[in-house]
Amino acid sequence: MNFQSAMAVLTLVFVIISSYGCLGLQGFSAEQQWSSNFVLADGVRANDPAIIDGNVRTVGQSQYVESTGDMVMSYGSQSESIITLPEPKSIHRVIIHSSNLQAFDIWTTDSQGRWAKIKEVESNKNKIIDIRLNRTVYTAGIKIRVRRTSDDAGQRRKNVQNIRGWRTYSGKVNAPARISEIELYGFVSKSDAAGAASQTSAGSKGEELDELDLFLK
Amino acid sequence: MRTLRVPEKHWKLMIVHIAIAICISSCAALEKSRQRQQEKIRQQQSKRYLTLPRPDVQIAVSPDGLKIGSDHYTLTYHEDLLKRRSLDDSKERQEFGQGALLYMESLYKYIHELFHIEPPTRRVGIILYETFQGSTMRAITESRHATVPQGNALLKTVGNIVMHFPMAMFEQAEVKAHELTHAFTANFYLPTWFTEGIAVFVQIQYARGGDFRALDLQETMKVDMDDVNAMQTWKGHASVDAQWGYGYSFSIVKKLYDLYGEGFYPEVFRLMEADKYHQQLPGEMKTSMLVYYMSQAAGEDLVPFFENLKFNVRKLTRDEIESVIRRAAPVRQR
Repeated sequence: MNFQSAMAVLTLVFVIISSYGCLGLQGFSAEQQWSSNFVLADGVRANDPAIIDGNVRTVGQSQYVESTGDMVMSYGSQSESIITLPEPKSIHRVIIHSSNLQAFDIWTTDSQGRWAKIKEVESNKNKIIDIRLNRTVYTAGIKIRVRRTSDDAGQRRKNVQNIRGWRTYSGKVNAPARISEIELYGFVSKSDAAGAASQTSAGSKGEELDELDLFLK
Repeated sequence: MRTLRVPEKHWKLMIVHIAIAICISSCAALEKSRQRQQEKIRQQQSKRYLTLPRPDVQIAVSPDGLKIGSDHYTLTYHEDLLKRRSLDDSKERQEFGQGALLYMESLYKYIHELFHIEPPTRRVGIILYETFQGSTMRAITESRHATVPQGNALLKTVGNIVMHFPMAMFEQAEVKAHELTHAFTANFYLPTWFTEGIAVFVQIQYARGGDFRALDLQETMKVDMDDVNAMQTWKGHASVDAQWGYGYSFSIVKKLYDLYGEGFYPEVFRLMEADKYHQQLPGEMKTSMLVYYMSQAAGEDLVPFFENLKFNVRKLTRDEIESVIRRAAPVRQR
């Protein structure tokens, strides 16, 4: 076999392997579908239940972190939104619906219940923040720690005064984030996805009936 | 002597069975250990954060978003708040109001489960302000009382309860928990020190607020001219020593909680609710009467505990309480 024939054979083998590889990858990605939203499961809790009620028309807010008793420290305290799941889940995607959230960190709990930061978002301008995590996070607790909102400047103007070189505070300097919903997703297999789809359609029908009841009363 | 020979095939089967049994039992043990660990973590988290489940509740909103109602609340916005950019259109008011009531409904259920009592009115009013009484830092729960005839007696009842929150206060979970506790206890006409003490207790112990620490009850005691603990006649936020009063009243409530456990306060409220004497008292309940119920709930006389704190209290009997109520009753009852 001369050099040219050897190259032709090698090229053919490479093309075949690449094709199978792409097909395999395609098959793999087709298998992966988003799970149902974990926060809608029973037993989920949050430090503001409006962020886990599955309704983007109810606006909740991040809650100030426990103050220390020191008034000045307390005025500067940050706020956070916490969700706890009844059992750990593998989370790949976090969606936050917020009208004023600009900079924040995402923290999760490990198997010992310790918090670890997994993501920093420096400058967000979207009202729906869709975050795909680049690694699987297996956790039963997630925390959004707010670092900046679009309302902070206004809040600071209102609550901080400079009088003869002295800075006086009359309230919190950081505004809480207005969050209408936080959604958490993982991946599911095809069979799970089919089940979840049928559950979702049943759920939305139930919601419609509830709303109708409310207005009939 | 004959030896029993087990065929090799059976041995193998037995080994497989034993291996499966070991596998199943170790899996079950692992699962149990995982559940225990999860429960431990949940308890750790609940000590740090007040998290609440979604309430099963119906919320109705007016088209202009100025009035929002739910099972236990009505929420309205004071006009000074409508200038806020985030609340100047009806959709924003509706969405914020619904979220706010969802939170308050969860908190309602939470406090109800703590003490097994409910506010005396079907709905509690919430009014949100930019500033209330010239301040952004003061929230107040106001209850209006009425007297209604029932049988031969006149009973005091609470006509309505309204919680006034500047937005800066409503944004703080601990303040909401504090004020809602007032709404839950409004019907008992309790001494001011206990009303505030139990509200700060919920704020600190359950809503994880951090403004007050438990004080040493002897070292931080303040006495009046009669050598009586100033706490007994303390008048709440209007007092000169308001901060001391909140901290000291909380410390008494916390001390009793530590001594007699979680069931103590629910039992105190249950006993008062069963007697309904609080509705027939001429004024606010005296500390001696509160100590009467606390002693029953504790299973021991708590008069010495309060005497040690220089409270002017005496041991009351049921007959004495009834006698006071009879003598204080209006002419109609006699």
